[in-house]
Amino acid sequence: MSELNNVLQRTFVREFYRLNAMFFLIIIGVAFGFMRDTEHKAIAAFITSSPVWTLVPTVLWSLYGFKICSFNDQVCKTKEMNFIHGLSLLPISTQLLSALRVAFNQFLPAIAYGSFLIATAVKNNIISSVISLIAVILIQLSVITYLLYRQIEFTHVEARVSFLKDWSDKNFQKSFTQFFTEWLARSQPGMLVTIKIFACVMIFAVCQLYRYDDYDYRLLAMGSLVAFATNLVFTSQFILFENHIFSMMRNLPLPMSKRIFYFFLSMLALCLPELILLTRNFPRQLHIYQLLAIVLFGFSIFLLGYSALLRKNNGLEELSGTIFLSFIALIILILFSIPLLLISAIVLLLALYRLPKNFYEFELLNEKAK
Amino acid sequence: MLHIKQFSKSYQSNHILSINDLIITPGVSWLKGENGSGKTSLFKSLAGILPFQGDIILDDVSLKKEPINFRRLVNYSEAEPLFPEFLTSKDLVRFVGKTKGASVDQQDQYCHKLGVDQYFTKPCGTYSSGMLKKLSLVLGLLGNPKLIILDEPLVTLDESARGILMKLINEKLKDPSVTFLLSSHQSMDTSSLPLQNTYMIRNKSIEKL
Repeated sequence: MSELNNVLQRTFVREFYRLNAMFFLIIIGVAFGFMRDTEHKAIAAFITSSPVWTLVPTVLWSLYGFKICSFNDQVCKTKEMNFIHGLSLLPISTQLLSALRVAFNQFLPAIAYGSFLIATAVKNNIISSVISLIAVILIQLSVITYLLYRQIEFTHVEARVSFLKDWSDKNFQKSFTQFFTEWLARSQPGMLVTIKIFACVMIFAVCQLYRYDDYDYRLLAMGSLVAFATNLVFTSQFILFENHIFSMMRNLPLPMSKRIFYFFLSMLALCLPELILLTRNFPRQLHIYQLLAIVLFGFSIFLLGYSALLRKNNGLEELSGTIFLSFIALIILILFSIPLLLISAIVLLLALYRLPKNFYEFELLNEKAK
Repeated sequence: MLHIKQFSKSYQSNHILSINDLIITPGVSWLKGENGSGKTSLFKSLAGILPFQGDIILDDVSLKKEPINFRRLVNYSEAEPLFPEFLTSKDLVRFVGKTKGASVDQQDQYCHKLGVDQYFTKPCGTYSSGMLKKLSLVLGLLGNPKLIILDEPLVTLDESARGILMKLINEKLKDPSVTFLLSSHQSMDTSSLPLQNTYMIRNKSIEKL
């Protein structure tokens, strides 16, 4: 049984955390970089003050649970995971126990924060919140476990084409941007939705702050930096698509300018919700040119990320330290009022300087090509 | 003419293949080798998909110095092609055809000859392995390439498709500057294909048989 659990932990748990390393890094950065322990305690006390407020973490944990389930679903559908189907030969109790172990480890960040909230509620003697939080965690864990059990049981499903897809395939032709964005939406829906919600909430919240106090452009620039940095995960997915899923792309005679154009177009399509939100809620006290500067700043970060990730053997995990340091450096530059256009120009030049060399010398290592 | 110079391919510390100096003349060349000998790595390097040390020159165009022009001259069809499941043959053929400079007429012609037109607007996720192979061969023939690399072209193809493929190869060979590089575990039928040279990859190097 230990071998079985070892395989499941490596294929589901370790891969989940590896692919979402950037997501967790940003969560940790936001939670522990900007907030002190007294603020954490104050938030926990507020959330546990009434069972109604426990709905806030419930919603967030549901989104996280959705992310886990979509990841597990995708893993089960890959051809190399066909062997997992053999698990259905084991007793149901063993299957459920194995699925529970996986679900527990994947859901661990939510369980850890939930435990902190429960401890706060116990300390404040609010039993209704304790019961509500325990129930929410147990239900979510059970749902993830059951869905994983079902996904393992029913790996082989007949390929069906919906009427709408059939009609659109007959009448339209996809561009490369659609190749990538549709692949991402189909293969990582949980990641896509979570990142979009996080980035949109960040931008919306920062824009709202301008309604109650007088800030200059730097606050919005920092908020946008966090939102755009979260989207860097898509850059690593773009590289995976271009070099493994659709590796033929490397054989095509496309000039580097065209490849960059495809990359920008794909990122533009993916960041459309943030851009619409930013435009609609852009603070009145800021000049419209700041909006363009912030958008350019975001796209310069994407290109730098793309170029850096194309360096040999670099993945998000290998680069996480560098990304964190660059993030802090950019925050400092913004705080020192260095013009965003100047920062963007330097970042773009840095990215473009190495990009062609990095692109042609890049090779996706097998263990990353999943 | 294809010239491979000081070629060396490794995966991290694992050395796969070295070719000091090799000239492959136009026509059909057959590359043999055991599983894992490095055939596909060599093919992918020639197609510009994998990086390597050294240089590859095709008709005076260097892969390292003129990567875009070189890629215009080289087409590659994989041994076990895999495409994103939601894409149709139409999406792939039109996109690759446009970048390779193939006219829509040429695209439709190859699709018709290999029978890809029958499932042209169906997503790849619904294809059999033979259908995927045919699509991969169509993509490998598009445009006006001077080097066409077909990795295991006969695998999963039915008898009639094999015959059609041989005809298409012979059609392309009417241009005397075209080189075909094939790998196959099955023996080649030399009566339908003018085999020029046979190479064997073993002990991390290549030799002419």
